[in-house]
Amino acid sequence: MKVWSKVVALGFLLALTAQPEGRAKELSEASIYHLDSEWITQDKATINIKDLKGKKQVVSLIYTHCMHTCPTIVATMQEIQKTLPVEYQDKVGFVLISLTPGSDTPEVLKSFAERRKLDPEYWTLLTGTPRDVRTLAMAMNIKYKKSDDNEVAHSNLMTVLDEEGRILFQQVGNIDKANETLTRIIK
Amino acid sequence: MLTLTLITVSLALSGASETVLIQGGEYRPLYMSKDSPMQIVDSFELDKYPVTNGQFLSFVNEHTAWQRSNIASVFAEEDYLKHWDNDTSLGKISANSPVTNVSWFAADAYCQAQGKRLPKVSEWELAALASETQPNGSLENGYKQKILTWYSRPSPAVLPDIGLESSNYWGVHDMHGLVWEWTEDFNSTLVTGESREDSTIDTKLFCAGGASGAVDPGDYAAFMRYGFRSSLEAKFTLSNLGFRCASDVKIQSGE
Repeated sequence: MKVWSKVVALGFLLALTAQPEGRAKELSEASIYHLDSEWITQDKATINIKDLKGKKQVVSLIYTHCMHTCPTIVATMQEIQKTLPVEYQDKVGFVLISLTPGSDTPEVLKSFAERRKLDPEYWTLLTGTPRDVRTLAMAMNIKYKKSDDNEVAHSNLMTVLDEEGRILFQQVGNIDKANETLTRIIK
Repeated sequence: MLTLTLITVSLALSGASETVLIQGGEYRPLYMSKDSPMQIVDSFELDKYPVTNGQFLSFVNEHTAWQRSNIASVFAEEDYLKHWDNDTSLGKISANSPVTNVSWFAADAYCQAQGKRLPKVSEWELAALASETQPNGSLENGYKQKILTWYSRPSPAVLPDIGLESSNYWGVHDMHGLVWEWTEDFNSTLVTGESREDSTIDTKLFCAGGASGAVDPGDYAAFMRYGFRSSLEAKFTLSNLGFRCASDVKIQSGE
């Protein structure tokens, strides 16, 4: 009985002391999920960036009123999703993060997703604080510059994260790259 | 004697986080056409000096996740704080020399912990434009040349302390001549990063990418800063790259 309680006490102590360390170690060192930032989805749900863990994620930074590059990026991601083999459909998520969080409210994101027929089961659209957008872009080495008219010049890139949130690879968001990207995702 | 040294060090340390007000003004970003509007920079507060090794040590002592052996590789390269003896000791490094080998993430976290932020590129450039006697030093003979001369010298193996050079018009020290500095939005420099394409941007790669083309090729020092910034990634740690913090001007209530 005494030994038993000692073990419990020891276990308790270990849990207490090791927890912060242990929690940090759950994530791979190179995981961008260390950012630990919070976001609002197109359905007004608050999620932590870590909640994307467990699936491969194809991530792009876009904004909904962008007329040029962004529609191509989204179309490319849609093409990838469409051509994913059935057994991979549930293993890959698609994430669009707004570069203009001020105007891309959850409602705007929702209507964008509906217009573009982005299935909410696989597509997550996120808006957050400018600071969290900046930090996430930094972690993925995405360059962007906002101008006064709320347009944003930005890298036209898709980033593929592995299940742990590590960057697997990045690809230019052009429709002719869809197949190549797909091959690397299911490799 | 020891007490005296301690007092001197602590004085210098407390002085090192002093801020000065930089009056807002207009600034024309380098990679904008001549017809593009000037960028208006609001007044802001800027640290008088770059953040020192001593200050950064106090920060990591308090926020241990940013210690050398704890930091996740996503936030910093292997060389992070490599010039220190270990997590908690500077070794031979002067506490008053500017901290380097820090990533953007670490610099950003430091400023956040002080209730501040990193300066924006436009803010940094506006403050750095000043000579010793006027806000716009570029109007002064030989000023650009002086900065370029520093850029052409290799960084010394052991960095001198902060504040040894005289301050500029705003009372800010060491904007040029000691270390390069991180800025909050250094990743807004839209060049491709390839040496043969460094001064042009591949418009296909960027939304709204057409708004490029330099305005003042004479300001070669500014070109070098842009080139340098565009080559950076946020987790890079370099032996001649440090930072200082900035903050918005607190609006005085009443009166």
